[in-house]
Amino acid sequence: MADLVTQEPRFAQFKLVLLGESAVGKSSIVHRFVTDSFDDLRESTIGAAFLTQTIQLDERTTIKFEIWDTAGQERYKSLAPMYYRNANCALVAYDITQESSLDRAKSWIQELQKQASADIVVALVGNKLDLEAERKVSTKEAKEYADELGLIFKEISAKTGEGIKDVFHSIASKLPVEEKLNSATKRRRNIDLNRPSTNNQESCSC
Amino acid sequence: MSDRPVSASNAESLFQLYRDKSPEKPGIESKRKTVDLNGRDRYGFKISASFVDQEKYNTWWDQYSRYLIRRKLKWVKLMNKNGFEADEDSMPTKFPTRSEELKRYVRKGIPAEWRGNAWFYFCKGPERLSKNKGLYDNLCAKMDTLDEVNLEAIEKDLHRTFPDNIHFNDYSGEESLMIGSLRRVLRCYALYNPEIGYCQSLNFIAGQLLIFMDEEKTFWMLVIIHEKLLVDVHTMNLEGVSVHQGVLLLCFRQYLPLTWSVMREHDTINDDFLVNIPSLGICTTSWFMSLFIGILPVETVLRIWDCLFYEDSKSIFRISLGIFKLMEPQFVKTPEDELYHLIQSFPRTILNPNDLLDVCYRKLNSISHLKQQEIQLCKQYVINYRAKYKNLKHEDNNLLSNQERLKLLQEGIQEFGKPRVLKGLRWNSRLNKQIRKLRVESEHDI
Ligand SMILES: Nc1nc2c(ncn2[C@@H]2O[C@H](COP(=O)(O)OP(=O)(O)OP(=O)(O)O)[C@@H](O)[C@H]2O)c(=O)[nH]1
Ligand SMILES: [Mg+2]
Repeated sequence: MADLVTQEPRFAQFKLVLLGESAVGKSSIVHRFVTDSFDDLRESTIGAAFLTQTIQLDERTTIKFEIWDTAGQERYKSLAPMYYRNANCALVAYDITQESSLDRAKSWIQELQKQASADIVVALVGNKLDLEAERKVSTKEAKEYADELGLIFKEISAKTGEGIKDVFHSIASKLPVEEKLNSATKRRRNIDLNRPSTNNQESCSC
Repeated sequence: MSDRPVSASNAESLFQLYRDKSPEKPGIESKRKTVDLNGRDRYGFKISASFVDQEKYNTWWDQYSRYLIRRKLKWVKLMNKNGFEADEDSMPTKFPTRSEELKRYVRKGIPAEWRGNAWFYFCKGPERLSKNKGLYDNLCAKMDTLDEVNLEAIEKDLHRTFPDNIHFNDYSGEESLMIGSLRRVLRCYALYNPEIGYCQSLNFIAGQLLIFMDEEKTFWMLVIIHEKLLVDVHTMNLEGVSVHQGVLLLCFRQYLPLTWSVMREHDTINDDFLVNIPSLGICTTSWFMSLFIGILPVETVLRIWDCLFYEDSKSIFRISLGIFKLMEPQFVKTPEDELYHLIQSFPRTILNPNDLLDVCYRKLNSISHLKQQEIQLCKQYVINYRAKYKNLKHEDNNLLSNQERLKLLQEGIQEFGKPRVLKGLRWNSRLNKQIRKLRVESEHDI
């Protein structure tokens, strides 16, 4: 039980990239996550947009996501490496009412596995769950694919908010928090050593 | 003739409110307020979407609209002086020949009602149109033959183009005339230029043009913009986007050494930075792709477009540098993990266009020394560098072996070390220094 007493609050920051075909709802997903709102009138994304959101993973752990919401049109693919470089996690989205969007998602996942850092945490999400009546992609098909590759899988709706928090929590719980903390403290220590503090200046009159 | 409907855009009626506001006429105060009370600016954009609070906006607009009225009167005088009949209510289609004086006037802002005609005129649109009579109508007639991929991409974006603007979304539930125009322009352009087809961001450029001119002129503006300002930016591989980022980084190094040093400190900007564009560099992707739409407040974007269409592609870089120059005091003291946020949010606060344009064009500022020739050479340098790198790149792997890297550097030294290539350029000395450093390093490695 001594553990509980010594547990200090932890804070770690991770880079997340959002990928997927145009209009599957990537921007809507981030906005639901960041502002807990949904706007039917959303502009299409040019290049990429940057957003942040913090979540409480457990009683002592706070996680900050630095999110790159990218543009989905096929040709933007050539810019994508700039966005997923050094990413700790990726959320790859498809639209459950658009068969082709799952294929696109799969090709993103392939690319991530080849090009992104080896320990990247990947989640596959099927968006627009509220449009169940227009569904074209079965849950089974997508889930089997995700399981095979060991990805987080979830069907969500940016419109109703269903499943959004869960996904980000699942991602967060798979992230190497401890590792990140260690490297961050190390880096901070280095900086402190290099920077002469004002106190030192006074005492050191040599 | 095709059965293309009359264009939705009509600058004359769009700016009715504004046109009535001359200083001599009574009631100007109340009229200015009507614009604000609707919560929309004079182009139909929601003010609340502009990222500054309404009160701040109103205070600024109160000042700025006076400035606009003064400028309009000056333009009328300039036109008359040059033998053009014009008064406040006229809609001139021809403008004086280019001169230092006219350039100054353009940089201080073209009157909003004249913008469509002036942009088109300065870009030599009338010549293009008269040489290609009927071309747009022919394209319109066969626009449904566009390939499925482009058709679908355009359809996806039509309703995601300025959904906050009353002309694009009139909340009636029916499709607005403007969306119809936008669809035709985008389809026709995609047919006309298959190398580009439809690229996300063209919707915003075309959309903003449509507020100021009819769709045929908008079409020709798209053609001209891609020849003159955004070469290769919207092509299939978006290579031009990366090239522009590279050129901008070189410009930082030359014109904003402080910003550059902060970037180097925070980011992993290594010698490959022209190929692997660093993270801070990618924040500006959309600046080029949408010509600053959505990046800066509407009035500021329009003033920039005045300059872009009168001048040449160097303006894009001057403006980008100008934004960073204004941001610099904040940039240097912002912690690393908040820099992206700053680059994204700061430009939206540049409500007063004159703040930005002064930095870009006032003689005292080094940015105003950036010349077109310099940009041209710089672009060529980046293009060559990237092409060489690509030739060396492994099929499936972005990384170069040390040996390949060395080879590339040496080729770079041979090619760009020759003084004739970069002679007289402002960034020459720095580049030489860099090359000297590389040469020493590579000799070391051998
Ligand atoms: N019914 C429903 N519609 C949604 C949902 N999420 C997004 N949409 C709609 O789908 C369209 C596209 O959403 P965006 O968020 O702009 O899509 P995106 O993936 O960011 O698209 P790009 O920026 O072009 O890559 C918009 O009209 C949204 O209103 C959802 O969960 N349910
Ligand atoms: Mg988006």
